[in-house]
Amino acid sequence: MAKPSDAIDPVLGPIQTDARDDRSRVHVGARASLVVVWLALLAIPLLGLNDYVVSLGTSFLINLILIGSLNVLIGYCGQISLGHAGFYGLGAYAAGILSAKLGLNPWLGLPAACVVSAIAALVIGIPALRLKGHYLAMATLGFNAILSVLFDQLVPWTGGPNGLLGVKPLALASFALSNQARIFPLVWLCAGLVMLALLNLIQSRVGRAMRAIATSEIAAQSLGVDAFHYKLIVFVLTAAMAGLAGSLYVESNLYASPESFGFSTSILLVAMVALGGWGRYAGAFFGALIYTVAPELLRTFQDAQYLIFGAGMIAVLLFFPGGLAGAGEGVARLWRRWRS
Amino acid sequence: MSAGSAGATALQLLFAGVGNGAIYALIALGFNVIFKSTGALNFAQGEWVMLGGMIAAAAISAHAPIWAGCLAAVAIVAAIGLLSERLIVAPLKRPTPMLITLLSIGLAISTKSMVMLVLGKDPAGYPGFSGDAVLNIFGARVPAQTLWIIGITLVFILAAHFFFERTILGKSLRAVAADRDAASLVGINVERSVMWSFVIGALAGGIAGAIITPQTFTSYDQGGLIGFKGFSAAMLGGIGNLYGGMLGGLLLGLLETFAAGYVSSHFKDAVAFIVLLIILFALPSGLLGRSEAQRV
Amino acid sequence: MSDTAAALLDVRGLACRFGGLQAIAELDFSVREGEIKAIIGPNGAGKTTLFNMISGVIAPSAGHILLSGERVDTAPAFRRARLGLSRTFQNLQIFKDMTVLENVMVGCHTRSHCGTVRALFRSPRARAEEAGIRERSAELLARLGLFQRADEPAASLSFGESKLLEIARALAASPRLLLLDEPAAGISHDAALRVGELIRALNRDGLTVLLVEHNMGLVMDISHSILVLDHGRKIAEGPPAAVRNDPAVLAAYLGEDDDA
Repeated sequence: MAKPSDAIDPVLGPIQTDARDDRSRVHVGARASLVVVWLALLAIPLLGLNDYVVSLGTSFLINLILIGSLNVLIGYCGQISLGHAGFYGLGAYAAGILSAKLGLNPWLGLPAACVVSAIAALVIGIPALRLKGHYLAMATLGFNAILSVLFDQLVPWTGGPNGLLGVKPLALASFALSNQARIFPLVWLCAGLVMLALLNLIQSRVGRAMRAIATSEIAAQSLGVDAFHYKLIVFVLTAAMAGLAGSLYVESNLYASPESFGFSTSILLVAMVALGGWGRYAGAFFGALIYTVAPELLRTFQDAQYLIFGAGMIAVLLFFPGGLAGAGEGVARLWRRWRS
Repeated sequence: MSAGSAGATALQLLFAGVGNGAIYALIALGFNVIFKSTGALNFAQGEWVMLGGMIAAAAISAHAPIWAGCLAAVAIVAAIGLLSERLIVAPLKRPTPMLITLLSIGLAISTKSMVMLVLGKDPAGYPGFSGDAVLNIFGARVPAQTLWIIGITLVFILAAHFFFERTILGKSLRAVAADRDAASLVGINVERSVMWSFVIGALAGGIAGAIITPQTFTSYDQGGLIGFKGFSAAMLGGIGNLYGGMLGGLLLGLLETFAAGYVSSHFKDAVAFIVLLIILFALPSGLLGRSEAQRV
Repeated sequence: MSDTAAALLDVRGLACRFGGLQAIAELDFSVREGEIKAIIGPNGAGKTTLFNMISGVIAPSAGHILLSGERVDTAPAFRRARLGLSRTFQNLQIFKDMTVLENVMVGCHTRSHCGTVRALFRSPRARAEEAGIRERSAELLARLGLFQRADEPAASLSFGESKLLEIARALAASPRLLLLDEPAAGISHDAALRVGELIRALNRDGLTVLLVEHNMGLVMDISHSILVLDHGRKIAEGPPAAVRNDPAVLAAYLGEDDDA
């Protein structure tokens, strides 16, 4: 083997990009796949399918924003948040209250939701992220629990346990986005932008810093990465995305109630991230799919639903650490090998 | 209100607070033991408490004597803790704290839904160890069960103290908690220690559930809240510190009860959340805790 | 190399206490710019603790640490990296979930700037910077003979290769002072020789190196100066020839036995 001091080669052209089994390579094809999937999804309302299917599609896209952002926080940055549903609810109520109680233009609700959730994340994140270990998990859980109490008790603002009514639908001039098919394109657009932004983030210098922090914070710090700074950024960013999801939720349902935003939902979202495959970009799609479709499919087994989720989560963590996305990659690899 | 009855009220609240505090201390103990040996937050802790109560209630409604039902429940919950560790934690190749924490979340979800399916959604309860007797102590009405709770918890704490200070197994658990690698180098079986810590955690949870149920009744969905309060107690005392957890539990119980008594009973559940956030904001290492550096 | 070369690293009155254990006491030494200095000593002498204090993993209980005359002992680890300090780890801390190349690319963090907003939108500036980071990382891998493994998961490297990867990653930060924590531990004799060659080559290019090492052959071979620790205190310091024959050093390593 040549001595290291001899091997000062000039750069030998671009790095080879043949497909291998590791997460970063998967992303080379991810951008193209994302575009394809995105265009395919647009077909849902255009195919003239019934309202029920379209509303499932809207739910799927909203859940995708939720689970995609949580997946980046947990899987790529290594921080467990059990308050994601709380930020979701904050966004929903912020947007809903703006139009229902303050009579403002509902379009303001979308950015307002992001800002409110981001500020809340700053407030809880700054103290909680300075601590080691999974204190963030419990801090966010406590925060979510307090939010639930607030959603329930601040009746003049939130409508209390009976929910928030009187939310005005979004409108383009006189065209109100008041049914599922009409609001679908907006939700589709937002979800697409969010997933694209997340992909860009993962593949960037910031994304690498984030992943380094998750694997070995000590090594990352020794290389000049300010761990607290990046953890906070990702936490606030993903909370803002959850807030956006909340505003889309309230605008597509014209209603919000506290039980959708409790810490049980937050815990379930974490389970979905694990089932889909945490730390894998495609995992968000699988997780959102399960979360949206399973309750419909399991309607007859409603009580057993949670058992299936819990047991499924354990099975995934033990045997299929890549989740469904990892299993999918495994199948794809076998297929390629079988063909060659 | 005369000074006498104000004092009696305060005394009554004091007993109630210590009683609740004892329960939180038990739960915090379970949390801390598992945290020390794995670095993970055990989300199933609260579900084990709920299980203790539910299984005891099921046994007692099947005509078992109260003592027997409770003992059986505790034994079963301890066995479930053992089984959970053997089936779920032990096979892990890389038992990182994050992974075990996530697994405990899955375990918690599964346990809760299993109970819902098998034992139903209705609340369950049974009479206390001395029936529904209430004692009069200097004017304060103190349920006998409260005294049982305080007494049993004290016995458990003493036993735990003896276990960790005097027995080889207990000392080896402490060694593993302090330094895994060093402990395995001197021949301690680290995996076994993790197993025992789960048994102890489940034991503490099961006992807490069995002794509190006569006062609060229990149902399949009570696990999350009470586990959370136990965690707050552990954080208040300093997570990882066994004695801190007991102190934290006591303080939380007192705070909660006095807040409910003098301010508003709606407030009661929120106290634990607020305590947790205050601790995180102001004193993250808790009352008796110390922050530790990671050794590289 | 002249005697009046500036001190890149200055340690004054440094001490570290863990509860009842005084791991390091009253330590004073300097590392001159451009030199290779080794820290040796029997096990438990406090070498890794010293490294951890210099790099910012743990805080000293007393004393100062100065980098080019600037106090750093209160600065967090990431700030010291930006001031030109880089290190490797005795217990390897490579990023196993990333590729070999990506590991080194993380090392380029301090020498690059694009932040979150540019990352989210994948701006042209971010893309250009990425290309530059990639190129630089590839060069470093080539220099350490790991270029062929660039796209493989870092977890698939052998122990020796992983140690080289950590060095490549630490170099990516363009440090002025490189701390090597037992670079030759656990690798073959030939590999250790090559590591020695590498350190000398890097030093010739202007890098100051401070290393902790047990491999005496390597230490004597490449060091300009050696610092000997025992029980947390300095017992000798000087060029290899002087330290090799110092009776205090021999006593510390071999004990004070008089029997033959």
